[in-house]
Order: sequence, then structure tokens, then C-alpha cells
Amino acid sequence: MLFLIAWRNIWRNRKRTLITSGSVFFAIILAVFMRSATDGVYEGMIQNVVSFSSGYIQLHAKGYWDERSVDNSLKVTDTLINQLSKEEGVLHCTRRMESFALASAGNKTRGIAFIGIEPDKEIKAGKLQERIVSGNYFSSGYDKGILIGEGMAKYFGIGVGDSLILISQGYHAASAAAILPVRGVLALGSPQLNDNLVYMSLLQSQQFLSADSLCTSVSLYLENVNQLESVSDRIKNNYGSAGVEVMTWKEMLPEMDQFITADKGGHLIVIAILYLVISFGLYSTVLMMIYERQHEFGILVSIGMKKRLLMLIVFLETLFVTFVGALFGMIASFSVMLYFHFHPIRFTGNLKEVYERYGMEAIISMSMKPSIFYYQALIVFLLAVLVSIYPSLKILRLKPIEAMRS
Amino acid sequence: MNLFSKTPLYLIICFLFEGCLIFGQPDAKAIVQRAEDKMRGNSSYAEMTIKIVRPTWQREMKMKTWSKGKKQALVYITAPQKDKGTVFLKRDKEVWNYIPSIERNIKLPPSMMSQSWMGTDFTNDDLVKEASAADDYTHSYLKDSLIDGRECYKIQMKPNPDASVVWGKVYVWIDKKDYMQLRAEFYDEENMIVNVMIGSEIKSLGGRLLPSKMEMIPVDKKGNKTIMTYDDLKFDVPVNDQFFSTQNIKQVK
Amino acid sequence: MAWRNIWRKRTRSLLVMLSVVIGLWAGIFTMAFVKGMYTEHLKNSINNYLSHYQVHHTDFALDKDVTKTISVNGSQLKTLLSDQRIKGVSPRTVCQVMVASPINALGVNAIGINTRYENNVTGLSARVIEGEVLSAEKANGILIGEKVAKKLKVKLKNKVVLSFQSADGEIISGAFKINGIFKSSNSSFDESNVYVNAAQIQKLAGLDSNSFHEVAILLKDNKYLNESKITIGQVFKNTLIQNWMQLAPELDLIINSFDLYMYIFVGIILLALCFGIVNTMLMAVLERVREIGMLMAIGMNKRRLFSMIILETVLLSLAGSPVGFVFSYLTVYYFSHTGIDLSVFSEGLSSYGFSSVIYPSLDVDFYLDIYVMTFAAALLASLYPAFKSLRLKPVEAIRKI
Repeated sequence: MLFLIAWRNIWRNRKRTLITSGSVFFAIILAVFMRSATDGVYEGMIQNVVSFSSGYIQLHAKGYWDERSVDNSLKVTDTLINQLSKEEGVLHCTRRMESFALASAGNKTRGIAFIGIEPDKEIKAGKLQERIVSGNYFSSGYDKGILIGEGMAKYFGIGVGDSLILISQGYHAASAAAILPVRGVLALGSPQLNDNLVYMSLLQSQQFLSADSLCTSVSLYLENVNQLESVSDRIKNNYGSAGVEVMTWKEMLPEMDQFITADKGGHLIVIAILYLVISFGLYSTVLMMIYERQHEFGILVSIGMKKRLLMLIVFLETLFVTFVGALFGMIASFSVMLYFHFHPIRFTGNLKEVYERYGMEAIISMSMKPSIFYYQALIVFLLAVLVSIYPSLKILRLKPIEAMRS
Repeated sequence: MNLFSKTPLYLIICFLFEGCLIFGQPDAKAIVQRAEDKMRGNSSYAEMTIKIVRPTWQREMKMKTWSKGKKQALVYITAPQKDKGTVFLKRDKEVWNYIPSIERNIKLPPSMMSQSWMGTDFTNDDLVKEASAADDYTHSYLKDSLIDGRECYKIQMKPNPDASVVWGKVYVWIDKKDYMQLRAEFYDEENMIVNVMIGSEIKSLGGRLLPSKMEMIPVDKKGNKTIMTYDDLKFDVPVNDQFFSTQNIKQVK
Repeated sequence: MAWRNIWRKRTRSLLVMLSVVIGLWAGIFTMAFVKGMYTEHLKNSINNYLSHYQVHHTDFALDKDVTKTISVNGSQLKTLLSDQRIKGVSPRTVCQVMVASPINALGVNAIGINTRYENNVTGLSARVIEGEVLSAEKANGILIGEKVAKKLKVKLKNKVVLSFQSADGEIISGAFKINGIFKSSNSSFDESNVYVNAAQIQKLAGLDSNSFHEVAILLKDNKYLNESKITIGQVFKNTLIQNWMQLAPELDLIINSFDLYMYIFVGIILLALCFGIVNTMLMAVLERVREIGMLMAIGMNKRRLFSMIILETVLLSLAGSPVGFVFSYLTVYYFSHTGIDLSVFSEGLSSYGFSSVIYPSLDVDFYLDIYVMTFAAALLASLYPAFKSLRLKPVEAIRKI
């Protein structure tokens, strides 16, 4: 009954209803936009770093993390890889073999790092093929060639078609030496990688290091980055053992995690400010709505309506109005974000150049995490409800005669 | 002059003649020098086996080595088959590595010197280091001590301030009779023991009585050690300087 | 009239003003906070290790070979130091070395310096947290970072051995005694660099005492960046002269994206304020339907009504802004002296080269920009209510209770 009255009241004065729910509506769009943009930056940052290095979750031999040596590598069968890829929440998983070698060409010799990768899977994980500036990506998993960074190519004075000599320490102190043809040259974002990194196929690296069917790590990529904890817990339970360690990127790159946490703290303040501003807007709107209807309330009370009941109806009204606003706000913000997701805000000029030099797309990427939408809608809705409590309480102090006169 | 004027003549005579005893105490430096000379000779040829021991696996390598003076050495790997023909050449302060499988000769850059040599507990740097047990340290005799039933001098060696030696101090045990180094302990500057080297299985090698087995044990890495065994050793074999050249590195057998 | 109208509904107007004040204050303060963080980061990077300019042999960056030196003599240094715009000049040797202790060996960059020159450029002495700075008397002294000390398991006064390539291609090594431990706000720099006396490196590497790999030049102010390049070029001919933006493009990236994000952020805050203002004014207009109708009936034309509403809205929005600006200026000013301590996150921050105490700061330009943006927002917010008022029909309006 009360609900019905409240519901009808809402539609009596459409303009008022629209204004109020409109302010909730826009508040949600703004909050979502803000959150989406900041989270998008982190997601981009994490993806950039994680996909080229550790993976979101990594399996490796116990002890490997402290001593990154081929001797601490892991035997991983195709069956295990298949099993892991089928785990819920896992997008794909890929084996890697990482180690150090002495690289030499002409009369130049230098220590470098190399990674053996599964060419077809790595395409999905890190978009390595897009970084190629000359030559080609690996043609197959059996490719004997290597991909090197631009800086290294320049240092050794070699290019596609030339060869690089690699000398390293193989598995269990086996000797490792090979002359490998350069298939492609990569533009890798950070100068450090650009100067020091060599990519080869996993099979080539296993052969090179006399480490058949071994790898130093298995990197997992997730369908949904936000399921990191739940997926990693499950993987830890199912696959972790005395010899196998499961780590998340947060454990592997604690400094980046901490940086993001600190920076997120700053953004929390920023969004709190936004909420504050939104609340003020909502508060004044609701307050207005009640002031405006003083006359009407005065009449209602004088003809015998209980103030408490009236208050309840008014409160329910605001609840409905804000709920409608929140609902539409959520839907609208989703479409707005969808738009920006497909038509991202692009940087121009100088900034664009710098971004691209780092191999990053010069855009403000928007996070499409569903939680952003309903959390922001919920928060704004709760704020609206909260700020409408005080104006509703005012009804209790309503003096019918004065109210009617206004 | 000053020294002579204040030192009684008999002490000078004693010093000159005994060589190893001052004030009735052994001259630590001379003992170490003598032990070092005994190991080295003007030139040498050796066949040896190096065994790498790790908690979960082991690996054995066989090699031939030639050396001349302090500055020249050549190591030729004979086993395992996969590595046969690999050569390490030390000439002055350079290390060259010839790898037959790729037919290339590469000079190791400084950045690689800290890496383990062939997976052993030695680094590439250990090959080049010319730190001389006699010249780079200040020696002092501590006491007599028994190792495997043999009477030994226990000598403390403190590196000279400018010497390129990382150790804080080294203790060596040298056999009194045959001047063999039977044990060495390497300490850091905080007096924590880092490495232990143990010599055993004494036999006649190249006409000299020497420990044929040397074990290098890093103390803080449990289950790790490197064992070197001399299968054959010859001293003062004739080798000319041309042998230790990058041209020769591909022809050694 | 518009001004008086505002004060007719005191609570409501005050509420709007208050939200403007808080919005502006919070927005500006956050901007100043983040700006302070990045300015500090930039300042740290330039003052602690990058410097404004670095001069190298044209091919030095390619392979960092010991022989790629530039010749630096006393008169060149004197010429530069006598320039009013230049604060400090430090010639350095830079070698890739292996530093070994009994426990471990690491590959690092050994920067050979002369403390006297170096202090004027990077203020190295201030970052020595244990022990003392390098001096000519202790020729074989070395300064290492905290983490390097930990990895090598060495302490003050301990010895380490440095091995590197000499000018004639040989590997040479020398013993160095740890003279001090340094710590900067950039932990990755500390992990990969050690300081030694340039003279000692020159002696060991077989370089003459005029040969250096790098000359770092610190200016008194970043504003001299472009003009001082010519001066430096005249002193060091046939060399590669790079400013900090070329040396560390990632810094440029951070600084540039910061500004963009900040403007977006302020835009969003202002937009949110706008909605509050629009709603209030809309209410105000609807509420005053009768009055407006009356005004129109007695002959006020539409244009004047329109401007009145616009003026009223703009006044309402801007009335709060001076308070907001003053308030934020004062807060920023206060914290710019005391600083805000973020040491809880200091490990993560310092690995990215940020310091853990933040001193908010904001250029006057930003205040002006925000003022303009606020004004534009107010104007924007006034349009809808003003149009709305035009569409009111005077006769109906009067009739309405």
C-alpha cells in the first residue's frame, strides 16, 4: 500500500522526479568514468609488464625464484599444460625457459638474457609479433632462429639473416653453445630489454641447454584479471607440491604491486572527493524536493496524516527515484564506457610519441570490469539514500499551518 | 744498514742458512712459497678428472691441462663426449674459449668472469687470478697441527691491502715434511668461513709427493662440492710459448 | 538583482557554495599532491643522478667501451663553472665492472668521480648513510648501495674486488675498501651503481687523467635548458650532448601523462559540481515560476530574463570559488612545508624513484586554468535553467499557485 502511494507520488510530478533521478544518473556515469579510467591505467600497466615477464600466475620449481638457474627447472608435460589450460578462469598457459648466455658476433661479446617461448602461445599472451620491426616472427615451434631487440642488433651490428653465437651453461652443467640465425628484430619498450633480450623457441632453448622437456616456468594468463586470488588459490591447491611453487605476479613483482596500492590510495582520495561533490548535489536536490512540497505536506498532515507515515512515504519515494536513477545510470554508464572502450581517448603529439616509443598504445584505456559498474551504482545509490535521511526527518518537525502558508 | 746494525750477527746468519726458521719459529712465507713451487714447477702437464657434486645430481669431466709459469695455461676437455675438444686458454689476463661444435673462439668479457667455470664451484675469474699465495699475502705461523696423521704447519695468510683478493684471511695447513698443502680455509672479513679446500690421497705425481685429490667445499651450500683428481701429472715438460696461442687453440689434442 | 535572488534561499545557496568550495579545495589539493609527488620525482631524478645535461663520446652509448672517452681539462671545467646558469659540472668515468666479495659477485656500473665536483651536481655526500664520502687520500675507497652490500654480504671497511676491462682490452682487477654506504630514493639505481674515485679507475684502466666517459652538468634552473646547450657545445666539441628528457624518456612520459590525467580529473569534479548547480537552479527557476511570470508580464524581455538567470547561476557558482581557492592555496602552502608522509608504501614508491614524503605544490598557472575551467563550468551549468526559464509561459506561470 505504502509502496503504491509512493510509486504514484513519483509520477505525479515528473519534472521533479526526472531532476532527482537525473542527478543520480549523471553522478553514476561520472563515478564510473573516473574509476574505469584509473583502473584501466593499472590494468594496462600490469598487462604490459606481466605479459612480457612473469605471467599473472606462474608455476616454477621450488628454489627457482631465489636462484634463477636452469638447474632449478621443471619437467612439464603436455598433459599438464592441457590440464592447466582447462582450469576454470585460465585463458591460456605457456612454458618458458629463461637463462643467461654469452652472446658474440664479430669481435664483440657480451652477456645477455634469453627466453625460450612457445611461439604460437606467446602470440596470444604478449603480442610479441607486433613488436617486430624487421624480419619475421617464428615460423613454427621448431624454428631454430632468434628474435633480438633493436639495441642489441645495433650493438653487434647484425640484422635479419645474420647469426649470433650464444654460449651458456646447460642443465646440470652441460655445455651449451650454438650459432643461431636472426629471424627478426624487435622494438621492445624498455631500453633494458631492447639491449639485452633474445627470444628463441622453447624447443630450441631446450636443445641448447640440454634440458629436454624442461622449462623454468609455466605462465598462466587469466580470462579475468580480477580472479587472480581465487584462481591462484585453486592452482596452488591442485598443482603446488614439495617441488612446485605457484606464485602470483603480486608475489613476484611486489614492488609494482606496492606502487599500484600506493597510487590507488591516492585515487581513492580522488574518488572520495567526487563522492563528496556528488553527495552535495544530491543533498540539495532532495532538500529542494521536500521544501517544494511543504505546502502539500502541510495539507496532508492537517487532514490527519501521521507525520511518521508521511516521512516513510517520502523516504520510499526518494528510494524509488534514486533507484531508477541508479539503474539507468548503470546501464548508461556501461554504454558510455563501451563506447570509450572501442573508441578510446587518444593522446596526440608529444605524449603519443613517447607512449609509442615504449611500445604502448597512446590511449587512455578504460577498464570494463563489471564490478566497477555495480559498485559505483551501489555507492551512489547508498549515498543518495543517506543524504535523503536528513530532509525526510525534517517532516517530523513540520508545522502544518506554517507549511501550508508557504 | 740500520737493520744490520741492530740485529745480532748470529740471527742474520741463521736467517740466511736456515731460510725457514727465525727465532726458532718457522718462516711462514717461505713455507707457503715452497708449497706453491712444489705444485707448480716451471711448466706442467696434467690429466685430471673434475667431479661436480650437487644435492640432486653429479657430473664428471675429464681434461688435459698444460701450464707454463703463472701467465699461461690451457685446458682441453676430453670427456664427456659432447664437450670433447672444448678448450680454455689463459694468456696473461685473458681467457679464450674455443668451442668445437660451433668452431668459434671467444674471448670471455669481464662481465662473465663471475660466472661459474664449467658449472663447478670455481669461477672463470679463479682461472685468471694471479693472486700468488706467496706474494699477495702476509703470512704468520700459528701452530703445528695434525691432518690425517701428518704433521702440518697451520699458517694464517692475510691478504695485502692492495691485492685483488676477496678473502679476509686464509688458513693453510702445510705438511712439514713434504710441503704439501693439505687443507685450506677461506674466511671473509667478518671471520665467517666461506670455503674449505681439502687435499687427500697423497701419492707420487711427476716425481713429487702430492695430494692427488682436492675437494672444494662451499660451506654455506649444503651438498655442493667440486672434486679434482689428478690422474697424471708431469713437471717441467717442454712447451713453447707458441702452444699457448689462439692459433693453436683449434689444433690441440 | 541576481545577487539578491541568490540570498533569498539562504540554505540552498550556501549549500551550493559549500559544495563548490569543497569540490575546488579537494580537487586542487589532490592535484597539488600528485603534482608534488611527480615534481619531487623529477627533481630527485635530475638532482640525484640524471643532471640536466650529460656529455658523452658520440659512440659511448653503443657499447660503453672503456676507450670511448672524451678529454676534459681544467680550463674547460672552469669555463663551464664560470657560467652563471650552471650550478655544477662533474666529469666521470663509467665502467661496467664485476664487484666480488667472498660470498658473491655482481655486475654493476662503477661511476668514477671526484667528490668535490660530484657534490655540486648530485649532492652525493648527503646520500651517504653510513661511513664517509670518497676522498683522494683514500684512493681505493668505494661507495656501494645498501642492497648491493646485502647481496655481497659486506660491511663498511670490508674489501671488495672490482674487475673490468682496461683500455688495452685486458681484464684487470683491483681491491677497493668500502668507504661508505649510500641510499637514494631510487632503489633500482642504488642496486646497479657503485661510486669510486675517478683517478683510481683511470690508473687501473690505463687512461690518462684527462680522459672521462661522461660529464654531467647541473643547471641552476630547468628554464636554462635550451640556451645552455650552445655553451656546452662550444666547450665540448664533437661530443654527444643530451638533456634529461633524451636521457630518460620515461620521465618525460610520466610528467606529460600526469598533466593530462589531472585536467581530466578536475574536469570530472567540475562536471559533478555542474549537476548539483543545474539541479539547484532548475529548482529555483521552477519554484519562482510565478515571480518570473510576473516579471515578464510587467515587461521584462526574454533576453534580460535569460541573462538574469545566467548571471544568478554564475554568481552562485563563483561566489564559493574565491573561498575554495584561498582555502586550497593555504592547505597546499601548509603541506608544502610540512610534507605528507607516505612511508607505509615507501618500498614500492622508492623502487619507482619516488620519495616517501610528499610536498604538494602547484604552479600559479594551474590555479588560473582551474579558475577558467570553473567559470566555463558555471556558464555551462547556467544554460539549461536559463533556457528552461524562457520556455515558461507567463500567463500560465502567474496562474499557477
